[in-house]
Amino acid sequence: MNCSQVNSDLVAYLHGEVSPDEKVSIQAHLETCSSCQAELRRFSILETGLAQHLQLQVEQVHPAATAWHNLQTRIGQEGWGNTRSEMRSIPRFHFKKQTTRALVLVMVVILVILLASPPVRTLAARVGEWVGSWFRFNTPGAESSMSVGGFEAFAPYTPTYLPNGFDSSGLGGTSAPDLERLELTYSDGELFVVILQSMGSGAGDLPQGKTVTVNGETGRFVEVFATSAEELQQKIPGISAVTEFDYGRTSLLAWYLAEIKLEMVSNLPAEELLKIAQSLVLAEGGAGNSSP
Amino acid sequence: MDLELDELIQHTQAGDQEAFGVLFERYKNLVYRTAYLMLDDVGEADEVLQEVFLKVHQSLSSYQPTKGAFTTWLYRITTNTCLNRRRKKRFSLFPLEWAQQRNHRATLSQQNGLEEKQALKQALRGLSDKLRVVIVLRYYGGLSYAEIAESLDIPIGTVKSRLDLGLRALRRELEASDQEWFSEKEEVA
Repeated sequence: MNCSQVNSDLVAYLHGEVSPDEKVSIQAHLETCSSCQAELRRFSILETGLAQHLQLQVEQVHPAATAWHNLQTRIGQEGWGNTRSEMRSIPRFHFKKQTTRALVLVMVVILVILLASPPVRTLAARVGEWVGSWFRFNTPGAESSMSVGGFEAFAPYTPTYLPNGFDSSGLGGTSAPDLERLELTYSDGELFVVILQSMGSGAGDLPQGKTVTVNGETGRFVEVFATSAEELQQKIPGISAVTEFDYGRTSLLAWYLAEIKLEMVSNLPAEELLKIAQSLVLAEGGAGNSSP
Repeated sequence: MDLELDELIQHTQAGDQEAFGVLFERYKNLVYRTAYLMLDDVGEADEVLQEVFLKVHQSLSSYQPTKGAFTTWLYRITTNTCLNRRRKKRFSLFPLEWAQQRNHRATLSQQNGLEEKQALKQALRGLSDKLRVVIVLRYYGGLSYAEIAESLDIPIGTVKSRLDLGLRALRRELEASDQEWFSEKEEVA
């Protein structure tokens, strides 16, 4: 085993979660490698510090003195028997299916007539100006969706495909006179993709790299774009590089869609990155209340 | 009432309030403290405690000891409740300059040279939920890889890689924010 192989298994070795053969190989390497010994010692120090820190933190906090009383009250309200079935038996208003459909239809017709009338249209536009435009982001395969107000400069793109286990892990935006930028991050905790969308003269040209086609548009693919969070931030100022990701082999896919420059930074394989790029659609947008 | 866990569960399943009270007393700290370490907020930890024991009360009849330890089941309900809360909170509404503020905060932390405890606290806060939860279950709960896998319903290989990633991320963050953190301890050792 070489240093790199040993290093990647050091945490599992420390936890006794390697196979007997691996354990023997790692031990043999450690006997002769002072650098890996130092690495192991640092992980061990971190583990001890971490366990002590968490223990100290929780020793300072205690559940509210009324916790049991509150729980009894809540359970009492719902009945000490089978709470679920009790909850289901709460009486509700019931309409026949046909009545419900007719009511919905009447409400839709009234709404359309109201919105089509000039005074209401003007009012809606004013409200829209007041609260700003909003865009809704739905994450495919996950429960999450979010709305963001204020991006009046351009309608952002959002992916309709993400690899399994991916969920939204961040959203940010920056605004400058020559550059409006929106940043969406999705990850599964280990792999990530950041989708940057920029508009304005500060967006810049496409980088040098392999020419690729994204839905008919010419783009550039740069393999190993950055090898650390710091390097990534130097190359794309303002990007919120998240510390826990492994930036060891980060690639970039960049292309223009009309006036918007799209840049996707990721440690995913190139084909997955392209698949996400091809799935981008305009986010659902509108004016008024941005709550989902 | 001084009963074994199996008896307590059986009594509670049969509708014994006193047994449920003993169960609550015995495990309230485990739930509350796990929630606190996940959410960093005592108020929210109190709410999670209520929510978790309501769920326990509702679904204890379906709990089967043969399928896993009670504490693993309790950890599963607690971590799911916490992660759902985090998800809902995260996707409310971010201000326009959020990313800039986040970067600014990170820079300030580095400049100030935070104290040891603060450095670890900040580093833990920087972890994603998926990494943080395995760290909390391992180093506060003392769970094995198999128990973490069962609590989170993920493969053991994923537990292994997330713990590895989590510890490496904490190391990077500590080394960046407090350069003395490791050297001081190495000297003591």
